[in-house]
Parts: sequence; C-alpha cells; structure tokens
Amino acid sequence: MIRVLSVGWMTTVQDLGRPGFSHLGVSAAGAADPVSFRVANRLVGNAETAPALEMTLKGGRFSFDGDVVVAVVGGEFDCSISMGRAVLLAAGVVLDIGFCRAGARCYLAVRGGIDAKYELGSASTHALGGLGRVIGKGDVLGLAGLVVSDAVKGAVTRCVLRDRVRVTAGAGTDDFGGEAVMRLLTEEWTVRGQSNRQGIRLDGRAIVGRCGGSMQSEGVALGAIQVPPSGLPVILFVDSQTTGGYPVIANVASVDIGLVGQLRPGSRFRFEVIGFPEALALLVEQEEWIRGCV
Amino acid sequence: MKFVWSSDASVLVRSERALGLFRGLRQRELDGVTGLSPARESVMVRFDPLILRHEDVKCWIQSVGDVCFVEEGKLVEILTLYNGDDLEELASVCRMSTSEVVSRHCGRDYDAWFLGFVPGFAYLGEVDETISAPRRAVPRVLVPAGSVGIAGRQTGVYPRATPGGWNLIGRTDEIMFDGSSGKSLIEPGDRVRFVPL
Repeated sequence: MIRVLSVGWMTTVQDLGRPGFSHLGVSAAGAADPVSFRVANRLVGNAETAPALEMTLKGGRFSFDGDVVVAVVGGEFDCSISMGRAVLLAAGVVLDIGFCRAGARCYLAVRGGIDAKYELGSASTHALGGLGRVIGKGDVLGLAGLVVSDAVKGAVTRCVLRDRVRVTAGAGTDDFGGEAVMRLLTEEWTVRGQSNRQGIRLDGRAIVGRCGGSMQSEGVALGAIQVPPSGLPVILFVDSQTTGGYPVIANVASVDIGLVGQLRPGSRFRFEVIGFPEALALLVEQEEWIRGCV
Repeated sequence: MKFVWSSDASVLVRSERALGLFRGLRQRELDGVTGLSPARESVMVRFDPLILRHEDVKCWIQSVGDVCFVEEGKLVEILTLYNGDDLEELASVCRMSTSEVVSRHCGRDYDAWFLGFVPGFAYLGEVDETISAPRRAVPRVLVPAGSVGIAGRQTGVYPRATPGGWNLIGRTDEIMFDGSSGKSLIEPGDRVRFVPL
C-alpha cells in the first residue's frame, strides 16, 4: 500500500494513454513526458505501461506499508532519494518529493505498478473528461503485479531540458504565409501560466501575416500548434480536445512530446523545424535509447 | 480525397463524405492506427510512427475509400427541461419569446456531425438560423453537467461539468458518456431530437 501523506499541485495516475476513442471525444491522455514515465517503470522492472504517479511542479510525501522498490524520474525535483535509479525503501520510510527546480513533471513508479481503475483500457487520468484519478492527501493506493523483470541497478541520466522544441509541418502550414512561419521559428517563446495538460499557451510577439482562414473544426494531432486570432500560439497537449477550430501552423515532432511535458510557466524556448524523415529517425533513436538505458 | 501529412504521427484526410470514410475505416482496422476523429468534411487519422508510415496509412485509406454506404444513424431522444440561464437573454437577442426559442430548438432533428471537446460531447446541427447566437464573450468557468447549449448554428449537451462558452437554454438528466463502458449516448452520424419536458 502507498499512503499519500501530502500532494503538490497536480498529482495523477497515468500510463501510456487511451488510444482508439477519439471519435467519441476522448483524447488519449497518458504521461505528459512518456519517456521519463517509461524509464521509471523500466528501472523498477515493471511493464512500461504500468500505472505510476505523475507530479507537477511540486511532488508529495508518501509512505509504504511494506518494503518497496521505487524510482523517481523526470524534471529536477528536490527529492529524498536519488532520482533516475531504483531505490529500495523499507516499510514506513517517508519518500519526500519537494519542489521542482527544473522541468515541470516527474514520475513515481513503484515496483508492481499502481492498482488503478482501468477505463477504456487505460488507467490514465483525464481530469476534465472525468477519467482516471486525481490524487489527494490521505489517499491509499494498492499495488498491482505488473512486474516483468528484476529492478535495474545503476542510474539513468537523461537531459530532459532543451531550449529547442522540434516541429514538423502541421495540418494547416500551407495556409500560412512565410512571414507567419518565420515568426514562429525565430521568436523566443515563453510559456504562460495558464498552461496545463490540455494546452501549453505561449507568449511572445504575436504571429501576424496570413494566418490561415476561418475554418471548420477538424480533428487535431497531438502537439498541434494552433494560432488563435490573438496570434499567440497554443500547443495542444495530451488532454486536449480531439477537435479544434483554429488553424495549425506546425506540429511538435513525436520525439519532443516528452520535452513539452517538461515545459513550465516561464520556460523560454524556440521552435526548430525538421522534416518528416528526420522526425522519424530521431524517434527511432530515442526508442533505442529508452530500450538500451536500463 | 485530399491527404495532408498533419504531423509525423497523423494524416488528415479531407473528404465531403467524411462520415462514410470514418465508418469504412472503423470496419477495416489497421494495426498501428491509434485514433480516428471525424469532422464534417475530414477525418484525422492518428498512427504510431514506429509501426506505420504516412504512405502506409494513405494506401489503407485509399483502399477503404469514402464510398461506404452511410446508413442512417440511430435516433437519440433527449428529454430536456428548457430552463437554461441564457434562455431569456437569447430570446431577447432573437426578438422572440422564450417559448418560441424552445419550439424552434426542439422543432427539428439534428445530425451528430462529430464528437470532440470532452468525452461524449457531440456537435449537432444545424440550428434554425433565427435562434443561432455566437459563443458568449466570456466563457463560464463551470457549466453544469447536462446543460443544453447553442453556439452559432450548432447545439450540444455538456456531458459533465466543464468550462464552456455556449448559450445555455436547458438541461437534461441523460447520461451522455459512461467512462467504464466507453458508451456514448450520441455517436457520429446519429440523429438527435430534443423532447421538451
């Protein structure tokens, strides 16, 4: 059993998401930084999809009824154990995960995985949609048996923080003028406070020039960069609505979705455009890194 | 059909027969496809780029085609109490009585064009032009579950309490979406009728 002694600002149960139901308006949700999530599970010997806790900007305090093997992976948090490695905690020891120093999110994986309710094939939490579980102080969580191997010795270091987010063309790129695309790619963007798992709102010099037309709502891809009439882009993220009505100027490359999950209010970064073949090559490289790192 | 590579993990297909295409794709699933979002004139096809390439997805879509015979969807009746917070304001903007707004809203069946926003939220149309109204300038922080609203020439039901900017005209007790079974009361292509209480 995991006892939740305190929580930070947004602690949820996540896994790798709930694909296949977007036609019913259900976004895939899942870990905002799936790379850190998978590494955390691999470290403790879990199946990669085992439910774990996602913490945002501030962690929480947890105690365990028995001896457990845990791993905390993600942004840089004040943490009572080393991050990025499997650690054996004796029953009753308090795991204290404090403030986030860099990045935005971390994952607590516990060997066995969290015993969570599966809805539509997934335990991931989509708070707006009422799916999954937002964790509160006093909650008691059971453990599942989603173990596939021994816990791993040694630490994983991964730089989750880059100031370049790679993008490819998006659904509406061709409808934008060159000036608008140039602005997107040259401006240094700052993450605004009202950013969350639904969308990352950006501040900077507004995108001007030809900005697509008025359009009907269409399905949106994960990481679509919408430009509303304000000219300030919004990255549609893991909990975003499945359809949207604003033109999409570009789309975050799959390899950098986890990086977007580590953006916090005030983060500054630039976009860098890559082609589809490069996006795929980078994703394959990342996949090999995940499989090889633990 | 027109194909757009909308990301490294999706293809957007534009077609005037989007619903037929969507139904065809649902019947002929392809391993590696992770989601389909039909809209009025397009289908967003999401896929796992480690399993499929854009070209594979395009071939699959072309082989299915958008000619699938579209059977008429089921008729969904929604018992509605027309007591929404914006009903009087909408009536005054439309220069008619509230009962006239109600009779025009429930006086026709709607097509469920697509679902989006949150699980089970269906975009229904087309609302009678005389009672159409833009979204509210300032969205509500919390719209009660079951609220029936109008935005432009669309109408819809909020499945659960969420933020929202539609003009609220009524409320229903229907369960719009059940997370444990994945059952949505309204699915793309259905016909929807509001029945006043």
